[in-house]
Amino acid sequence: MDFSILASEFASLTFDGIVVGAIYALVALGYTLVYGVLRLINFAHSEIFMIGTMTCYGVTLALGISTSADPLTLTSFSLVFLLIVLTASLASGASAVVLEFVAYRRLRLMRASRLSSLISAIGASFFLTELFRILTESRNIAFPRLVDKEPLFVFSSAYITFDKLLVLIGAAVLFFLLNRVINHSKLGLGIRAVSQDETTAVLMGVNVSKVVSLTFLVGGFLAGAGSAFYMVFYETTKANVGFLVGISAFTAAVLGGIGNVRGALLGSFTLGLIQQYSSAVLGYNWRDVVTFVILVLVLLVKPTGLLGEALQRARV
Amino acid sequence: MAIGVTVAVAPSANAACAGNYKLYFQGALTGPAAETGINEYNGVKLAIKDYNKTASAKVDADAIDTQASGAQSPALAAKVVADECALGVIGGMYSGETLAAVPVYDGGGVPVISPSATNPALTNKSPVFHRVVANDLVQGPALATIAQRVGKKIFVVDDATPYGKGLAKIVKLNLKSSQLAGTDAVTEGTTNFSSVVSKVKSSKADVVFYGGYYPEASIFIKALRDNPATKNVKFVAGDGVLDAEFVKLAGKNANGAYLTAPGLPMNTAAPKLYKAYKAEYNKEPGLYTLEAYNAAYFFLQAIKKGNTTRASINKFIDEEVVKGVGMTMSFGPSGDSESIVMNEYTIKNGKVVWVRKL
Amino acid sequence: MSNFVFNPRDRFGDWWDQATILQRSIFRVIVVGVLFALPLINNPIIDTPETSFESVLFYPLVMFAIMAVGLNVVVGKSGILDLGYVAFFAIGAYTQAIFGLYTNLNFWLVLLLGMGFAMLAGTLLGVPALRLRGDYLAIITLGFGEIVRIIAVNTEAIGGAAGLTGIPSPPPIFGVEFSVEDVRPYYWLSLTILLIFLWGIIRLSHRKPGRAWEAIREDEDVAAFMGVQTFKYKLWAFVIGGAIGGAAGVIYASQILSIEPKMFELNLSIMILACVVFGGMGNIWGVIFGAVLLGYLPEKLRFLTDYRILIFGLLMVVMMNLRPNGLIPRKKREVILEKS
Repeated sequence: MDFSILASEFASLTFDGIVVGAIYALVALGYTLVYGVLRLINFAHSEIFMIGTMTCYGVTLALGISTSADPLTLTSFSLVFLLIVLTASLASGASAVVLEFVAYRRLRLMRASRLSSLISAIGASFFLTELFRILTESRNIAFPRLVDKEPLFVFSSAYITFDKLLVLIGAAVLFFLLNRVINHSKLGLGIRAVSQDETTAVLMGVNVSKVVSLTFLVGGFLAGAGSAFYMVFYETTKANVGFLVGISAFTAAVLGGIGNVRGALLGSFTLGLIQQYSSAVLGYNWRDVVTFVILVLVLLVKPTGLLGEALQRARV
Repeated sequence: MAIGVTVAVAPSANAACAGNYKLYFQGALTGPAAETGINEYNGVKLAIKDYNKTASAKVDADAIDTQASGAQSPALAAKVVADECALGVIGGMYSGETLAAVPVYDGGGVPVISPSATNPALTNKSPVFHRVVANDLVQGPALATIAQRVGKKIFVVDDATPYGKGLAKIVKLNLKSSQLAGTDAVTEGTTNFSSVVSKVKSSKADVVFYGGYYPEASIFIKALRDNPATKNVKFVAGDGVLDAEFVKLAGKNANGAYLTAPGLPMNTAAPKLYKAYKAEYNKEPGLYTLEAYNAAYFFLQAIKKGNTTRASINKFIDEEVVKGVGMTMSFGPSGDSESIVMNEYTIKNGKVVWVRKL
Repeated sequence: MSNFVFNPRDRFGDWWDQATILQRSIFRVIVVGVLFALPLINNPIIDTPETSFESVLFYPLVMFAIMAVGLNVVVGKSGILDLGYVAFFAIGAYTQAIFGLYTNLNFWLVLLLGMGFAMLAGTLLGVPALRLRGDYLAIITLGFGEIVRIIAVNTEAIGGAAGLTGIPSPPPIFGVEFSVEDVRPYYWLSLTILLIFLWGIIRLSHRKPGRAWEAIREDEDVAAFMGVQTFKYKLWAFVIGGAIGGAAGVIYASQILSIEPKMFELNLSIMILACVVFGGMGNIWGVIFGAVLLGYLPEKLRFLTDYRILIFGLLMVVMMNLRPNGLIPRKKREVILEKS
């Protein structure tokens, strides 16, 4: 257990932790939005993210960018990246809507038990992971280096590179947009209404099915955008990447208070930082244990997460 | 309506083989490790196909898909033991599934030659077990020597798999305590190496040893090269990393890595076979394709010389020396190969280049 | 609520209700007899392609059935969503491995120890976790399952990533030897244990604990108002479920001879949960049926090897959408609805 590394590498670990947290946040928001509206843990959301990563790769294939090519110039990169983000967001968003329709809609309308929805979610998750595993022949997918990663400047021990800044800025933009949707749009009103009280929302004329579909769409968009940032940052993916990222993102959402958008953000950044620090001190292989232990401790003290559930519902 | 019910009797080894003799491959044909398994099985199939071209009594290839899991292998091994036509097993692919299955094969007297299970615990495990590949007790010290040669402070990382961790442990044992800069462990599927890189940086190591496989290794080496502080740290790894995929995934960052492997890559050691393999399967051979081919080849030589019982084949394996394709094989009483050759490789300009024999 | 067009349980249930004690006993004897005789039958229709039918009977069939019965107490009867059940299985397995390798303790003692450790773990986890609400509890149990596995991977003393090998088999019972070539004695042993657990659970279900669990499942707040000590009974359900899982683990380890952390992944927890949900939560026969189905089908359908898990996932989605309460749902709820 080496605590000295916290001192010597503090800036680097902190900065990296925030970047990782930003990526988690984009995925966590999907979990939290769906949970808020449906009280359902969308287990297959991680695969929505994975589909996004695969789409990003597909775009580079279509554009003919090889993995051994040199990084692009800033202008080329901006155009290519924009294309990738849009395509991935659309792909993930569409997949999410289809997922809802196939796996959850009927159960919701039948008012089936939560457990059944959960099993359906898990089945969908397995299905999608396997599908892509077969498609990718279980290989890791390498993503070309689209942008130069030489540090732009150095702050203490942290190397600030363009891709990390991109993640942070991109995430910030998306949060801003999401906030506008949730708080200043009709859809957002619908989402908040349904999460608060579905019956009353129906009575007030809200088309719940439409709201649900759109919630999945928004969650999917965010995951897809997140996948684009993920790919530029990590430059690799594989069929089960959803599971690995999903568990952390999901934990982050719960940590912050599931159903609560700001909670998802707080949880994600907190988790990102904790993971970086603990990996450095204890070793990377203890990372997940630390993650869960923190989660358990927080839930014991604050059962509904750090910021609580947005809607203060004590019971389902 | 007659329902066919017969009482199952445990069959004796070669009671009555109704068809052709069979050689089984044990490994992962589905699941996360399927790539390696499929490549090995292809090697086995090719060897049998080549043999059948000139043989009067044909041999069939069959496989049990363990998904490289020790949970599944014993039950599947029992199936092989019960098959009267099964004369031998090429496998298991990974050490865990082999360790679990060998007792079952031992009970049934089925000879086993593994092309790729490297855990030292398999040495002396059973009289029917043999392996073509070097166990980690040979590879580990070789890697430690290389690491000490290229640098002064060595940082050891493993991937928490039996192979990676085992190899890393042996490397650490062979280093002086003053040379060990630090350790870390990651898990399969890790993509975020930033904390590991931070640790390497703060330990001021000039060499990193990675015990594990190429998917994580390629991401790791990229992370090291991207960080200006660790850009020039030397990278040393074992045969789990030595693969064309490593170069493909890591790109230019792979250049200059120091790798070891017990065998030569197929295109250097057996160019004709390499071409034939590519023609047959339309893909590059994998990590242990050559070893799997040769393991099957050994069995087939035994059969060719008239050995058609499990016991006689096992005796043949114990006693004979066989010149395979690109390697010569013979086994000691412990089951380990006697003709282990450890080689050092490096990556130059995106190609795997052989450096020297160790 | 007539979602169930064809409900074999109903017709069987009607017969059972009016059967005499003699008829019921004969039925029981026949069923148990058939179950014990299963490994001796060699019929291509029921045989599994690439594995030996006998070993499939042991694992996954009976093992899944035992675990499904255990998890049913937690999830099905009491409504506690547990996503980390595999941890108890792992604890049992590692107990057998460690005590078997390093001590000379009697197998039966180790079996009790394995169950004991699992119960201890269940208590340690349950006391803090069971105070939380459904979904949070589920996540904590998920985390617990993963933590147990990761600790096993990271701790060299118990084998680390490579696990432990050379685990001893049980001692001969009534002259029947337990060896590595013959899986049948293990099957008979675990079948006996399953029947014992079944008997115990059914007895409990008809008594106060069973009714308490039922009440908690239907509506926990109301149950608490009516004076049911919800926390105590939830903890009991959790601990009992854990003990059963632990027992399965001990037997499994003694058969398989070597264990590694990779055998105890999240997938297995999900599988057992699927058995419980598929079969019909709360209905003990249903979950056994679910376990048998989900254990048997992948083995039978091995010819579709590459697509096995794909189809399995698809089946889960389809099944849940068409029969959300499982294939053989709980009886009591239906009775209440019919009356009203």
